[in-house]
Amino acid sequence: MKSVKRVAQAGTLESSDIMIIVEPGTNGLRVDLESIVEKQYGQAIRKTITDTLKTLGITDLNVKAIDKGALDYAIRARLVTALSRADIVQRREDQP
Amino acid sequence: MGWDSIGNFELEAVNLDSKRDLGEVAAFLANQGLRFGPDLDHTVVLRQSGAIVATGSFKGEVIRNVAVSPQLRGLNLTAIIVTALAREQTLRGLTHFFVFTKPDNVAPFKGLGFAEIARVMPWVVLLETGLGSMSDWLQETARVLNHLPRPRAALVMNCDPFTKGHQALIRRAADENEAVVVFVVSEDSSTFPFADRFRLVKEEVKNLPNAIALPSGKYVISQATFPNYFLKREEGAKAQSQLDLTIFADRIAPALELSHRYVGEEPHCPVTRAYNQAMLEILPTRGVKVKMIPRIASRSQTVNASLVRAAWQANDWDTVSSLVPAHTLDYLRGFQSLQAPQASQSHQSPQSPQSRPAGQTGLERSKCPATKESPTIEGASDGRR
Repeated sequence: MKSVKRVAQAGTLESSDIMIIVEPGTNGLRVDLESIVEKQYGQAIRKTITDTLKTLGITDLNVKAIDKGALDYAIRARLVTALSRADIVQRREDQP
Repeated sequence: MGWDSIGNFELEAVNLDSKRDLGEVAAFLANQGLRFGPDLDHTVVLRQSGAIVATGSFKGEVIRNVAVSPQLRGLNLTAIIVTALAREQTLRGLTHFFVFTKPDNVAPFKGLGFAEIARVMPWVVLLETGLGSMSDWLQETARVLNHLPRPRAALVMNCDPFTKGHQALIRRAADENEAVVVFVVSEDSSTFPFADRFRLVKEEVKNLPNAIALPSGKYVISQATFPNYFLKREEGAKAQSQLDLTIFADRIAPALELSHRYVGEEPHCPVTRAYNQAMLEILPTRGVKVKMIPRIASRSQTVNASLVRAAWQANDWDTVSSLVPAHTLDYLRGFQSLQAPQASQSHQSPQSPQSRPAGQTGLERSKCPATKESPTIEGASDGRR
């Protein structure tokens, strides 16, 4: 089973981006999202994040996401980068 | 790294050892009416044609000194600064962040996902973001306290180290109330490490069925609730007491069903006295009763922790044993013999009394913090020093 050993971060707080922070978890996937488009896309963003994590076989992780209107592929890219910085996936070959 | 040089902006970390570089940041902040607080972990600046146009710093989880040149407002340079700071904080293992700012500068931070915890007008607002929130902490703490009857009394103590004075105060609160919650200051900026201070308090409260000891955490007497930074000094002490007490009265007391706060009288230290005075002014108007208890005396001296530390440093075990309960005495004796042989190693806890050079932690702490520029956590928090 893959697990995160240390905390890591990726992305920025600038417009059209998303900042993702991950830390080791023991209690399943916990995603805490702040988004400027929460009403319209909050659920979709959460689903993008949890789907990406499941695809990578990650079962326990705490995620904080501060979204400034990022598009789907940006969300996935920032998440995977954070995970690679946390040593959970390798930089290129493991990306979904 | 694209955002390191967006357009004609250059982001760089400031060398905190360079007086010249620090002076440049201080001058930029001074232009905007902000003071460059000492004791920082990391500072970044954004430059345009060589001149600073924005800056920000952090100490631990706490982001402060964030400022943007007035001519460049609206470009959201705050986002670049906070991103750089949060990135560096995360590299250091932190996943939760506070921001201190002035009330008229709250909006950009809320736009960056920060939520307000409390404010003291017209000085300061405290906000947070990241993994875990104050609501999470209150919920979890309420769960831990659930077995205790209500209403409950609270004490906030540093216990550096635990004395007969702390003991008397806790026992009295336990006598007079349905239940007692003792918050032991978690910040590790005292002579004795938190783990040890906490354990000594727990050994006391395990004999009291209606009392519990908890770490004070991030929201009681912490780096975050004490903004002695960018505020001018005379405002600083007042604002930091008020912020801490406002958070306690408005958020913590209702959530944890705390009806009283007990505190020991402070005859000596002006900073602690000012904090206690603020307690008397603020808490009762917000529904928390304050009980200020005179200190107990031993051999005609009022008992306080700084007296214990001074005697301990002087190897005056006769005085030490008159001021502390048996389990603290055992600890102090063990602490000394544990530390002495390896005093030169870089250990988190202080060195032994014999090897501690003058001016280092222990000796400084035995003075009243009011003599220093920024009051220490301990000084403002602990009515029983």
